Amino acid sequence: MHSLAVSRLPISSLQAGDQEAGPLATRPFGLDLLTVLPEDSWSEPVVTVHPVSQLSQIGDQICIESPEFRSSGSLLTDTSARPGGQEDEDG
Amino acid sequence: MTWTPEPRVLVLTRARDETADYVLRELNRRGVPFMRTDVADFPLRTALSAELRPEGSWRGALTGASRALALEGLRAVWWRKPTPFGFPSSMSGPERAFAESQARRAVGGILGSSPEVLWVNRPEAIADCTKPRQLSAAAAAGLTVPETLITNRPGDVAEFAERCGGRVVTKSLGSIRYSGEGKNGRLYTSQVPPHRWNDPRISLTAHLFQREITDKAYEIRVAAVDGRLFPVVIRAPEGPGRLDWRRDIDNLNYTSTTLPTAVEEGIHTLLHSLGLVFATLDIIVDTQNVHYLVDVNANGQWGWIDQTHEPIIHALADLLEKGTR
Repeated sequence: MHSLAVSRLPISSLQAGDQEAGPLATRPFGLDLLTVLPEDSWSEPVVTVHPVSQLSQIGDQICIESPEFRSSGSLLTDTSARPGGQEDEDG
Repeated sequence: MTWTPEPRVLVLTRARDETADYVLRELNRRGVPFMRTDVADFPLRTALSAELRPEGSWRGALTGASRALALEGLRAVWWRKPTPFGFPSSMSGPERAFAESQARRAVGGILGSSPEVLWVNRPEAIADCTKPRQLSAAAAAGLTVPETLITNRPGDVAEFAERCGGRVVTKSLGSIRYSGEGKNGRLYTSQVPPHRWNDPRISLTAHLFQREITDKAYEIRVAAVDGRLFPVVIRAPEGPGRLDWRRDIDNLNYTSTTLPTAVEEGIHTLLHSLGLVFATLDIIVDTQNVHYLVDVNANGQWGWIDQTHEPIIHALADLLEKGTR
């Protein structure tokens, strides 16, 4: 019988970290790749799931049926990803 | 609560997931009953109760705010983008760790115990689709992969870079998303100039270096769904997007394409070896028409590309509707 490797469930937290950076001498080289996103792109509206259709909604507007949210940027950013799009993808 | 007739598809994702929404709208159109919930909904908004039957299966239900699903009717699980379990904020750290340990074993173990259920994808297959494993599997499948070095020895980077003609890039081994110091950012693929090859901070953890494909013609994103491939050419204008197209997302050009047969066969072999029924893959094509496999995203995005949007929706809906392994 199959069973999931339960300690390895891939679950992504969307919480932004606010811990201060450590000293440069011990900052991993790979973090030099970092491109900081504009602060105004971080905010996330309150999103719920429509009880009947089960689709994402903001206020009473189904996201994929709204021209505002169907814009290129929103489609790209998908889920809650911010501009840039594939935030949950590997590099 | 809205009871749907015998829900048999479970979709696990966060509240905002437009990519999933397109497929769920198609399932609604087809009349395929499903339940959507987030891992974060457990235990405060979703309840799980299951009893072991004598023959070894679990009988019970996953009950959410608006729908409920009988475990014995479950035929397909779509593991999209769930967020962590949601416990009362008053729990202490150790209490939360205990609660999460219990929840992971219960939710993951019960849902994963049925051999009849089709997973898109099995969570452990997603977790195991690491860069080292996927590149190794790609090469073994006959696909061309750029020369790659993973190391924390700075001296090895210089030697590797010289063998690559002095043109190497570095990229994250995992997610490109980074949050810290009160900032949100992305870790895009970047060139590593010679004066950085011996940077002592390379030694602080593992880093991935790869030969830069300097004569890049274009890139291809391929979505793979249950053996069907949906490739699209992505062309970025001169500028930062030439190295990593995600840096110039508003100025990309997309066109439909086909893949060489050998590449198609390699992708099928690769995904089979990784245990994935869905993935998006990134390919760089050089001016000699060599196709370099550079990335496999076990849970990659696809919804924003018009050329393949509708076919992928239907392919995923077909797969979830069919269900059952």
